[in-house]
Amino acid sequence: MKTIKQLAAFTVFAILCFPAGLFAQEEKAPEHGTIDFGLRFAAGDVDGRPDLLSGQCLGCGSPFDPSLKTSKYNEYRDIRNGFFIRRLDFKFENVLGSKNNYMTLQSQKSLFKDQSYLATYGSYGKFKIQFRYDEIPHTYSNTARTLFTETSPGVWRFPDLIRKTLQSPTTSAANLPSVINTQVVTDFNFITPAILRRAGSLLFSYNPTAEWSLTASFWRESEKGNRPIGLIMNSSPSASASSGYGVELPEPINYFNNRLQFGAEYGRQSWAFQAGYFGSFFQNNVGTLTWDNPFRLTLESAGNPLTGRMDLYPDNQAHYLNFAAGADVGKYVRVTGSVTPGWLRQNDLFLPYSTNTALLTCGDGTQACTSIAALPVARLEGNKQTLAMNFSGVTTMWKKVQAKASYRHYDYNNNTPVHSFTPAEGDSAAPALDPITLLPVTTENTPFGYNRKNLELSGSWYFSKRSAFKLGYEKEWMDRVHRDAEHSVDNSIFTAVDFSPNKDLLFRLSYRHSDRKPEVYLDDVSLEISGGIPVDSPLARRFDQAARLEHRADGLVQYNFTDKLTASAFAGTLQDDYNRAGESNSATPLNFLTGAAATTNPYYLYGLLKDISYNYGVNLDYALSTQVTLFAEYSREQYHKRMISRYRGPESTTLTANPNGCGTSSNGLLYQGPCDSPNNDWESTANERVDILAAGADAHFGKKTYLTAYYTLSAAKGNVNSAALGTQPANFLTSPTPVDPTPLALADRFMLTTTNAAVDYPETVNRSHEFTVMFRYKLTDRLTPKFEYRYQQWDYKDYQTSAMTQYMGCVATTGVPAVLVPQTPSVSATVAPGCPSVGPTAASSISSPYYPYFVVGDPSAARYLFLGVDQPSYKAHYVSFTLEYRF
Amino acid sequence: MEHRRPFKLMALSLIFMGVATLAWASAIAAQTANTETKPAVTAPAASQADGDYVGMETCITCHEDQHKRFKNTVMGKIMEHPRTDLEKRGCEACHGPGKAHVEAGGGKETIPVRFGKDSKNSVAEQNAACLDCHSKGNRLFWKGSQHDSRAIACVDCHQVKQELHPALSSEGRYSSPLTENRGLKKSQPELCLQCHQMRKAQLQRSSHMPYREGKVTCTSCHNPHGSPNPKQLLQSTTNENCLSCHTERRGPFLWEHPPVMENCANCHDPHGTSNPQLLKVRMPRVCDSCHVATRHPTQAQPLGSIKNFNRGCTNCHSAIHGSNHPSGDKFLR
Repeated sequence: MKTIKQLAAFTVFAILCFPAGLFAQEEKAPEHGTIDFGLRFAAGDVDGRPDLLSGQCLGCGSPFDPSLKTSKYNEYRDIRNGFFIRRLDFKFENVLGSKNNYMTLQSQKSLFKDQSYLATYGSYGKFKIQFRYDEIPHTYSNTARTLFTETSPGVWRFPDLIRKTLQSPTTSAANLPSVINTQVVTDFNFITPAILRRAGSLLFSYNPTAEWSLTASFWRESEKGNRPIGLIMNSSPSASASSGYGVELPEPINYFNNRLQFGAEYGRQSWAFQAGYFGSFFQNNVGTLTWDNPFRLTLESAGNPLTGRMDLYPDNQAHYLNFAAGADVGKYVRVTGSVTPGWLRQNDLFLPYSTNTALLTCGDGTQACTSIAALPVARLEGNKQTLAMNFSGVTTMWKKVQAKASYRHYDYNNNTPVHSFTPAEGDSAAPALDPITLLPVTTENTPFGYNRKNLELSGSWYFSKRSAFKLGYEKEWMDRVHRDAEHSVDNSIFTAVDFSPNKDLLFRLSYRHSDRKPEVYLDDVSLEISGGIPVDSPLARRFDQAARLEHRADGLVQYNFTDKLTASAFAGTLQDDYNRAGESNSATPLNFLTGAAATTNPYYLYGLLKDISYNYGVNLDYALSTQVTLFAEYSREQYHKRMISRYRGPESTTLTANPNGCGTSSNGLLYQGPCDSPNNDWESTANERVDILAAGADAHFGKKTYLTAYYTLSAAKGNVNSAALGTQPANFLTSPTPVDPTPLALADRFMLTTTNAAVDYPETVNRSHEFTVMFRYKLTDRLTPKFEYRYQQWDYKDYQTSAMTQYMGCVATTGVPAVLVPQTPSVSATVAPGCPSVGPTAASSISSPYYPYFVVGDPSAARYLFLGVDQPSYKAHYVSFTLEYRF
Repeated sequence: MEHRRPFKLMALSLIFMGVATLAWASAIAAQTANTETKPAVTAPAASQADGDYVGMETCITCHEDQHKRFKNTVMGKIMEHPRTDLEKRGCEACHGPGKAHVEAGGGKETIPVRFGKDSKNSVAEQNAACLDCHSKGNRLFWKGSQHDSRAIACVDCHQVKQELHPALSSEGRYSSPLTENRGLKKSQPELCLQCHQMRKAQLQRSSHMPYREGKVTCTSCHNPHGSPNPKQLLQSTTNENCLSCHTERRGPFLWEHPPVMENCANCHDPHGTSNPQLLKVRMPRVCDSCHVATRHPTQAQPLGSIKNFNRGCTNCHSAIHGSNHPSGDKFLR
């Protein structure tokens, strides 16, 4: 019915416009703008989750409705069937009796949740008042389900009856998955995590003279909705059948962003000065997220909290002043400078350490962790000051040569006070006590700050028309507080050639080489010994501070072969190499294995070794005739990253009869010894290939008929592969007790087995196809109907999300196989009792039908309830018929 | 890093800039005495004597069509009510004095300044004609900027007398926020992507900001006319740029994650990726590449690990951008 009404409205509107258009062609009155309106329809299937059937109601929860409306298709859009106004563009000159005044109004996608408006009233060269309004939706998933309900903003409750059931002693670790799968998950209701940004701004600018400009603007944005957030109720980051709980919830988003801006500029032909203020104020209207522990209703204790509480982003504000000036000094020199100091503030009230009433050792060791009094201060008084200063001089003293010197200073100065806290991790664990003083171990906040200085010297030689050769040098000094590399220097040289031998041919080439070296790389935490080994690996290097050799090269060629054929091609690479011997890294290879295994791929640090990317492509435009133009584009991007890590474990204080650590424990064989051997090094590579293809034609017949048809494809594949770099003797015994025979010493025992194995992940795929046909016919000078058809197909398969359901703990605690990534059906994990078996055999299971023979599920997630967030594949047909009316 | 010294530097710099500006203003005022000064790179237009100018009416006698188009542009409207001597010159404000052109009876070669690929003028000469008026505002740092130093002409991107008529396929493939700027040769982002072709591919990625949907575009973050900041960003740093919209992540927080506060681009690629949340590498590897501590950060993690599927590490460490919770030192709260 609604569609019929919209159709009728559209028809009436079209009929009214049609004669206006016909009559208007007789006499060409001034045009005031265009309106583009019509009807549109989208239909299709969300077909990426065959396990979630349309209308499926697993219990009494709401049925799954795989609507395009909430799918990736509408991730940032709001395409709904019916009448819509695609675009509006009004312009009126000489308004309000003044010959120089104008008024404009533009809109896009009016009346929908992705609408935009821009209205301006002004006088050319004098003043302008502008209003802008914009909405941006963002839909995260259409597969999310939960049994939590929000009873008040930021407070999520779980049904007591189910909490009681899950807490019941009869719901033991063994049958927990069964109870959850058969009695809990079935009742979950579908929700759509999504946010909507709505922003409006008002700008006023005034030019009292040609030299003066004054501006003032205010911008306010409301951001509302919710997005998924993961939450743990445990001291260590996992939930399991025996300890710890976790939930994934919709995080309430209710923000206001305000911006206030003033500026003044005075400028003449050869010099100008600017001064301004920019203030940004963030306000979070829901400051906390509180939720029930679904697995616990009564008897709160350490390790078993009844509720959890998260501190959401605190209100904050930032103020910046900006002063900038530029002047020609004499005939050939121009100097510019800018100084921008900033002040960042945050002073929200702290929450107590925990909501768990059983935690009583916070603060001085005797205070309840739920008490504000246990905190050292009530607020942070967060205070940062930034300062950006830039100065540059450019001279054109020599004909065709430009030389530039610039200096930049940026200071990120963190004056936030330092306090000692006694954190209660995850609302679950009491603060640890110092074994000597028996007081809680305190943790201090470490306000991080840095200072960066850059000096650049460069010159450009404009050797012919539209051609230049550029050469330069840049040095960067970086100083940091509370980071591993406190001082580092980065030297760069760069060059570029832009060459146009004639008006039809253009080359653009550039190259940059950088060499960054930290003065000393020292991770303070690597000096702390815990459990017999350093807390952090002493040779771990964080890539944003580590020594780095960087090469960057880009090239572009554009050529008009003939009047009919234009082609361009591009290629580029960015190569970061962190794997450098000596200086801040190890001078000798760290590989455990010797011989070819070490020398072919030696590494001198732990962390990222290489980050390499390539891209290349070609574009073609060919005019088949004066009416028809063909275009084709292809590009490929490749990314490769390689990192090294080491499985490290401290000596365990848990009594175990079968030591399976590396080293000798402090108590003979009763404890697991520490493990920190290069034999447990592993590497991981991440590779991505992205192909982009587009091909189509634009045609016009006469001056009235326009037609286009094109196809685009974006196809990406990704692989994350991992492998152990050490060795395990062939006669290594895994069961019942891991035994390393000689010659490997106990300290080098190979540990990368079972759940510690370094294995490949399955390939991720996402492909986006689009085929479009658009037809436009200029009925009259004022009236242009347009038809548009689009077919969009999104294919998506990602092991991190495509396998997601609301419960991922269906792998039996005792059934984890020795190799967790089987490539053959013969090896798989054991199904927990009561869990659906969708694997190749009834006795074993996988958690997802998308990755046969891979296990996607974790006994450590036995007490973690997820939302099941995914953005499945879809196919969509879109048809619109619109009229563009010029008036 | 000393905490106070930069602000002394700032104060000294401001004083220096103020004094220099005043001194320079005085010098200019004394030299020019109400006349326009020459630009650093002098266009032929400005090097001629006043007597070489013939006036716009003379131009219109032959170039009526161009005038009709020009007078409906913003520049045309402003020149109808000129505020400066330069604006009074109309066509000759940009093209230079027309006397020689008139005396020769027309001809392209006699126009002192012409624009476009077939112009005899250098890029610097063409740009100087534009900068005669447009050297303020966001063009303050044009001289020596990335595009200036690589011989990019204003008219490579802008046009004055033409209306924008995008191909139908362009309308279908690209979308940009509403703008008042009607003087571009192509709409954003298509205009920028002509040279920055690798970005064209990146914008097609599955994980992207709403560029394709016309909500964000190149100039939302960058100033192509030059800025004193890295990558021609509008704000002083990458983070100030990102945090101007994502203000909730700005802090200061009680517990901060230093690489986050230093540079968002350590983990994210704002132009688009194939990984969730615009991550350069998916979790847990994005975290593993720095955290070689003990226990779980150094486990390779099988596929079926809670530290791998769904949100990876942030299944638990969800406050990874910073926490203000007294128990949030491990970013769990």
